[in-house]
Amino acid sequence: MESKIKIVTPGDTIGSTGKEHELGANQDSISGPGTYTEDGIIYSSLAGIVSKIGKLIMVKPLKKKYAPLTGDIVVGRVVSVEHNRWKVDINSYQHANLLLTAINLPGGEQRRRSDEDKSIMREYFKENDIISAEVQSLNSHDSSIFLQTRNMKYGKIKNGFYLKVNHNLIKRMKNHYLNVSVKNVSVILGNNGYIWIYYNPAASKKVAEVDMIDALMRGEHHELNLQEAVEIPKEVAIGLSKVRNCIVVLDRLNLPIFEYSINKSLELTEEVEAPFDILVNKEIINSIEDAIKDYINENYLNNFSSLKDEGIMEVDNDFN
Amino acid sequence: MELSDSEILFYQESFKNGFRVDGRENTQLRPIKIKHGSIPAAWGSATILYGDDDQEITVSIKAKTQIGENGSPVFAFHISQKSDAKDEDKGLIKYYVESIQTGSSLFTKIRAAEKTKNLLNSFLDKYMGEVIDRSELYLDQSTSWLLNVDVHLPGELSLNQLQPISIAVLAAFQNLRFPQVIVTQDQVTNNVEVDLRENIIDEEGTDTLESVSTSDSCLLIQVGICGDNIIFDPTKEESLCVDTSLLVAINSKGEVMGIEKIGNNVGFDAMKKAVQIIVEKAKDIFEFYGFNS
Repeated sequence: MESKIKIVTPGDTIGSTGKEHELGANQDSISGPGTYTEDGIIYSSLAGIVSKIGKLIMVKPLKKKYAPLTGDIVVGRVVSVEHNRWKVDINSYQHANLLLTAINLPGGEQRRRSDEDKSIMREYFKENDIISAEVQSLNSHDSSIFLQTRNMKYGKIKNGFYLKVNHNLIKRMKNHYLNVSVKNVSVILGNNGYIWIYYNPAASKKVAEVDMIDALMRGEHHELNLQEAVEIPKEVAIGLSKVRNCIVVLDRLNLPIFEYSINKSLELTEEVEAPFDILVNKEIINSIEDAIKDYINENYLNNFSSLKDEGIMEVDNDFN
Repeated sequence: MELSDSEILFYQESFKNGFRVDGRENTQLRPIKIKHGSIPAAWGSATILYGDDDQEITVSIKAKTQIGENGSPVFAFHISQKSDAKDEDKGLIKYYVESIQTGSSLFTKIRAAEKTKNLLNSFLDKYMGEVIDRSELYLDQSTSWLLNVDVHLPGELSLNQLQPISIAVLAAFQNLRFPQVIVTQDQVTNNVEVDLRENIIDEEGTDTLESVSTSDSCLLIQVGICGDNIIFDPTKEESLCVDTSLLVAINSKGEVMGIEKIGNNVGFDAMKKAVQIIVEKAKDIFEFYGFNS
């Protein structure tokens, strides 16, 4: 059975509850989130995609605030330092909490946090620091968001700059830490729409993960985890700005931002000498748009199940 | 919005390299899309889109109207007083900046934005008050046009927006057309009466609306100073990484009409260097934005 995606606007008719004053099993359909009922007719109250589960009809908005799920990779900015936690802006409905117990101590120490740790919290992260983290949990009562950085690839990030895009364009993927096709440039794609583009000299080298852990346990900074400010060569600066501008173009065109779309855009702009031209040259922008749309059409839109697996959009049962 | 120490260092390194994060050189400007006449009901209007995310600024110009006793519109005029001899026989231009942060909605209103709005208004009144030769607005009998210029920004207010606002204002004044009027003074009552010409479109089908010259108009050019580096058209992030910002009101001939400092104190040499570069590039800047004299 072919799945259909139905997009509606506020006020569109999407179903009926059947006879008036009938409830429960006697109703044809039940009005769910994003809908309202008038005289037995169900209307959409949002612009979005209609979804039906059994008798329940709901409308999922096309644009919504970032709602984190457990396991999401996020890039955030520390907003405040509190008694035993940090508040982090992750572009969501509220600031996330990063507890002192949820971070890696220097040297990979595994111990109970002491009062001294609480007094030196700013040595770990201070206001305006940019960090990458994982969503550890969501409180079921008040939807508070808790982050964790208990992995060597999380924590404070440097040697780069941050970019904000529409979070709906960033799919939930297996790997959000990308080494793009430009030498020594890496990208962290936060599910929350915050992206970090940075100079990573180790990106072109293959280093065994066990070496990194060993170095961390010895209290040394391994290359991959070396996040001290370094001087950036000009060719890398050009690469960084090319990656940035390609992502900005993808955001403007409302195209998904993932490894293929970034690398394809870079491939199409390889001959461009001035990276700023990527933002203003219509031919370049059109070629990127055509290439990415062709890829999506070939690989996704003809097969809705893979669309759902990849998390691009959720398509439930048919709605006629 | 603030940046971390490492981000600030990164941006400052990029200024030293002469190659910014978005690929521009230090003195390179971002292109702007301008649409003239975006508000048909206004006498002059323009909408511009600028920045990576196409932020919008709309400017509309109209003489304030009121309905008179006989039901016909009455235009608000500026009657110069004998006491303000400097402004005698010149029209007035008033600026009103609004955004969703300062509007009436309780959901989007931000109190701190009122201060930024007032600063923007004061800068515009000070430096764009002479955007055109106000004597062109003079009619007769000590009566001249009073133009109300509404500047609308849908998003967040900041002082970084002064440069694009000035571009939108100049584009709106280029689009400005106002009707010809006849001013008469009643000899008995000394009341001034203003009437529109009967036919705005003449017998040959062309409109008789008047426009003003914008050849000597000024723009507000913002530059950031970071050590020895002068950064033109800084983005929001870059503005946080410079030592100070200068706002220079300049016309296409390179004549400086005013300078304002935003931020920390700056040495005279750095300021002189920044202003010199702006003066040298003045004509190119006007041509870049499509304001050819």
